Amino acid sequence: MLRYAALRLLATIPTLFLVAVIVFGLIRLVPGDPASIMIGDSADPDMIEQVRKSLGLDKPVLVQFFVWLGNLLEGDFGRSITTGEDILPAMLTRLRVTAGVVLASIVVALLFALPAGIYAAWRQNSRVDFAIVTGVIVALSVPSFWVGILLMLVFGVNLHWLPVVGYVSIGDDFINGVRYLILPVAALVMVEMGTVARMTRSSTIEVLRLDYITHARAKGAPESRVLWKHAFPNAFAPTLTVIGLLLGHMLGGVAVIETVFTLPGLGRFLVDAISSRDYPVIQGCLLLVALIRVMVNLLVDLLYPLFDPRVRL
Amino acid sequence: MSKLLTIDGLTVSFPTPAGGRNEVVKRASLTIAPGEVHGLVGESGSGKTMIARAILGLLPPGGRIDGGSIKFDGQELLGLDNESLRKLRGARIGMVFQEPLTSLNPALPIGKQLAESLALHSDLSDAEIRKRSIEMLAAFRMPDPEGCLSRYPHEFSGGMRQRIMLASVLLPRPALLLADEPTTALDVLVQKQVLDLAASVCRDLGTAILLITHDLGVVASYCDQVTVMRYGEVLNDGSVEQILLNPSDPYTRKLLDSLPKRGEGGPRTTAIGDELLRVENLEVHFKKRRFFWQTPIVKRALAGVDVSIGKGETLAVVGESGSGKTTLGRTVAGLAKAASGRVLFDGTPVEQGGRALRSRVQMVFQDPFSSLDPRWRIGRVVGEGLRHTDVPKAERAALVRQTLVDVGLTEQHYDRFPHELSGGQRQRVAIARAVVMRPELIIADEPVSALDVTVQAQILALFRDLQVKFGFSYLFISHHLGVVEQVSDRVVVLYQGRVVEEGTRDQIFDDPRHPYTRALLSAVPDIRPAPGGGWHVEVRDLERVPPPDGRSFIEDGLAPVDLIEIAPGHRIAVAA
Amino acid sequence: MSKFKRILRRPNAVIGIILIAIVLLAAAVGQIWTPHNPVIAAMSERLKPPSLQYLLGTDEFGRDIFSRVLVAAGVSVMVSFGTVLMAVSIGTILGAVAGFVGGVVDHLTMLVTDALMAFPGILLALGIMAILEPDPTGVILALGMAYIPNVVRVVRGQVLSIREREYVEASKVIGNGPLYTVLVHVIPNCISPLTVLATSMFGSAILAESALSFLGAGVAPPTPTWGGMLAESRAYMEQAPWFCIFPGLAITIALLGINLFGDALRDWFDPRMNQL
Repeated sequence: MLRYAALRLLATIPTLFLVAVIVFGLIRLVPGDPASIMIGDSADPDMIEQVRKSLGLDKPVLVQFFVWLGNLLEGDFGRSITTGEDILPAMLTRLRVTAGVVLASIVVALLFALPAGIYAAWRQNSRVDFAIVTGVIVALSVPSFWVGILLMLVFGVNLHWLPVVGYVSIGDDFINGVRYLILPVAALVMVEMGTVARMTRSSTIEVLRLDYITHARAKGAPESRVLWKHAFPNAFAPTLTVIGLLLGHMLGGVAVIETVFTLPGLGRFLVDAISSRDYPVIQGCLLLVALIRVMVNLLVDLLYPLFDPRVRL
Repeated sequence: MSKLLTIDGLTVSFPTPAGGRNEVVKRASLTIAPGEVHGLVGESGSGKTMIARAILGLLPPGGRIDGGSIKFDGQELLGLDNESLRKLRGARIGMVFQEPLTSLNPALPIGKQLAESLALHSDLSDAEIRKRSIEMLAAFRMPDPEGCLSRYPHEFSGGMRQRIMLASVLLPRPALLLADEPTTALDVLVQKQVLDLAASVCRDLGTAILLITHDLGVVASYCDQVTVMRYGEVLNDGSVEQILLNPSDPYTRKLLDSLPKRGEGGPRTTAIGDELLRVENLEVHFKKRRFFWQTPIVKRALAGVDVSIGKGETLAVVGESGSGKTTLGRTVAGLAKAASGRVLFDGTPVEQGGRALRSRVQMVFQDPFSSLDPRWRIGRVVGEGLRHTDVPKAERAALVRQTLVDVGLTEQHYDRFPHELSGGQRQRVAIARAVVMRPELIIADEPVSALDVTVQAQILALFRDLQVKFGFSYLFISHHLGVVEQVSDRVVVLYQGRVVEEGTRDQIFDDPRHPYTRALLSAVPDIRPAPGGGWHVEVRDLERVPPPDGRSFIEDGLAPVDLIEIAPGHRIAVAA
Repeated sequence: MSKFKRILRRPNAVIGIILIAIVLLAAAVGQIWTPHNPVIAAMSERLKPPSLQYLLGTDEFGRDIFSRVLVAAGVSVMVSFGTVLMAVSIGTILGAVAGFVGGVVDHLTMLVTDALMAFPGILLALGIMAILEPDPTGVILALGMAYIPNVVRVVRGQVLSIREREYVEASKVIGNGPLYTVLVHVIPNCISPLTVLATSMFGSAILAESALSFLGAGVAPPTPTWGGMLAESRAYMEQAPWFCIFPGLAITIALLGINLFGDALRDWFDPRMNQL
């Protein structure tokens, strides 16, 4: 197990290296001189030269890359051009907000979507199944940022039940923190429920077709046992993969929600950096998100054998 | 004698795409006495599986019982509520399925799956269940029965899994075991072992068996009573002696007539010519690795194989799964690479022969459902290779149509798609695709093993007719000894990638010498025509004979061997 | 084509096709004619509620929301179509080559694919938009790049499974070369899953295009986009709720149509799976 985990961890190194190359290359692809774009064309040449130096743009590209990579490995992501703050700590603070919203919404989504998907598969083609399937399609068709806006419109603007804009950390004030989280989580949860319910349903349908399910019934196992003891563990393995992918996907999707509710999360950090052409922050955010995603996928791969012993460790 | 199971006028139907209902079982009746082994025989689509499913109330979705009655131990099962039916399942009636690879739950350890039905249907303590599980696994001769309990299904081979399945089903001592093609997916030696064990354990427990199978040999050697079905109807039933060996029913006679037998179609009319294919000291490896920087794991599929085929000759290659027989065919066809050794076709190494040589060797694959491109019409499939020949474009369509007729199809099939054809017809198309190239050698890899026995007989006859007409040589790969006996001139027996015995058909089947060949021949019960009309079962029990000159056989496929000649053309492998 | 008729018997598929037709029609009409000028401001008419004159009301510059929704439909359809076209054509070639050639080529392709897929698609597109012009071509390039890895994966997986099928082996035995075999036997048999993938990608491209515009990184104003309109509407939520309802409704209609149709398509190509 440990050996396998170590091997898998090693196998992510080339991927992460390429991720770094892509992020680095992206900024080099900016047409024109990055330094002058960053601070504007009107700036005086000395200032541009100074920015060039501070970014190491006067050195050969390969040298620039490895210096940058070396700094990254030491945890030095550079400083923001607009605010001058150290990027890594700034990102980690914002990551806490993002992680809170994403994890809370995924937990809520699993709570509803797993039973719904399994039930729909078990009663395939029934009315309830049809209702769930239709619900899934609708959930996947409504853009989360629009749901967010509608929720704000109803619960914030019209009913005044919940705050619509801003953020209070749960750590500082639990009740208020939760109040600020409810609408963003509700906006995200729909698409997540749709994705998980859809996958759970189809993988459960696949499993329910297999001989060992009929065999379990032929042994006289009651339906509840067939479903939870025999079908669910096997159907959950592919669903687990989807949950991992979803978690990574949501790191992107949450950017829009953070913008809607003006949450100080990682996604909005990136969006703001793009509008202000703050390249070191763009690089940092992309890298951090990619790193998290690769690690989540790794975790899923390591958890997978718990549900499917056929996968060798 | 009172009956354990009585099925009377059972009708089962499924919905059709057009909206109607299709009766897959039509007013079928059969009875089973306690402790009896009852064979249920039929080709695909005969409805035999649905009868077993209907007994347990486990028809696939859409299936419906339209009428009749199923009485088990005096109790009517149809219309029984779910809960009462569930109490019978597993406890009184057990069922095993064909595919050992999918019928055990991959996520649960063996012990839990064994314990399940006892835990559901009895008040026994966990310790008692565990004890009985171990005893049952031991009865099925599982090595280390106690250790098995904590292991997972994927750690066992197909034969082992089927023994575990049987152990788990028989643990609650059911009165009736429904066995749906329980050994069809297994190699012959394993099949015999599993069936022998199952029959003996059931005898000890007094469990009756409904053995559903397409294999008449299995029925003849294990069953007391037999029921023959076709298209959902029971054609006749009675004792094996009555029904199977002296049938009055024409369909049963046809089934028996279709069984392959030696010398079918009379003595060969074409002489065997000069050597066409020569395989020398062939070694083939498979490499596998998980990450590309790792050194690959090398698995040897073939080692030191020498084979030759004369013009117009049929060489059969026999072996179990993993013997390397398919790899041999693929290497000759150029689909696999030799690690060492040579494949000479008409004196030229195949890898140097290029396209001109390619078209002289053609291949027919096992699975007629995946060997034809589903998007292509038959005419295009058959004619595809002609662009590599010098047949003028204008004549190609006519040649393809003629070839379709040659293989027993009609010109109307030219514009059909593969999915519109039956399995037998598709295999004819695959044969036509090879024949149209007018090759000298056709490699046929298990060409009839996916087909029903009556269709199989037709395809084998086609192979013979085409050989007479065009003078092809065949490299005929099969696990089925009966088929090999019918088609071959010479036979090569492969075991774990090595040739263990080679000789003419009569040498191999009448005077087998290698212990592996002898074991194979002993494992298969033959049904042969009896001299006085009807049929009889021939079970051979060949003792080991020592090899000549004080040499010894080897059991391990990887140890070095010598092939020694014990009669002209008859060679066996002995320890080097 | 009887199977296609069977699709039409499913109410979901029919609703999907109707919704898609509405969106395409709106996109086409918006290119030729709109009831009002979609870009010129008319400050006297600002934030008017829906009426006969302004079917869906007006925005903060007094522009007709209905007209803007129509024009934005064109932008969305064009960008999504371009994205799918780019991702499918490039991704199919790369995936087919990786799957069929195998070995080092395959490993390298998959390595790059894995690296690109480490970024959530929308963030990758956002990052790429940082260096591209905020016009339809720029958005197509950014989204296309973000979607190529998905296509590569699907096509490669298909090729790997198809090349093991016996009809591909049969093609080699007949004497066909590898390139011919790929073009004639392998790629055509990838078309079904590719069609399903392309359909769902079309939907997610519409969503991503809207999200990019919503974040201000899509097609730049004054060209109307659904996402851009939603972004503007947030400031007028109290005064003009219609402003934030209709552009979102347009996105939902488009996605609903594509998702309904896509599911029917999946059933058609692979009825056994019967996934939703």
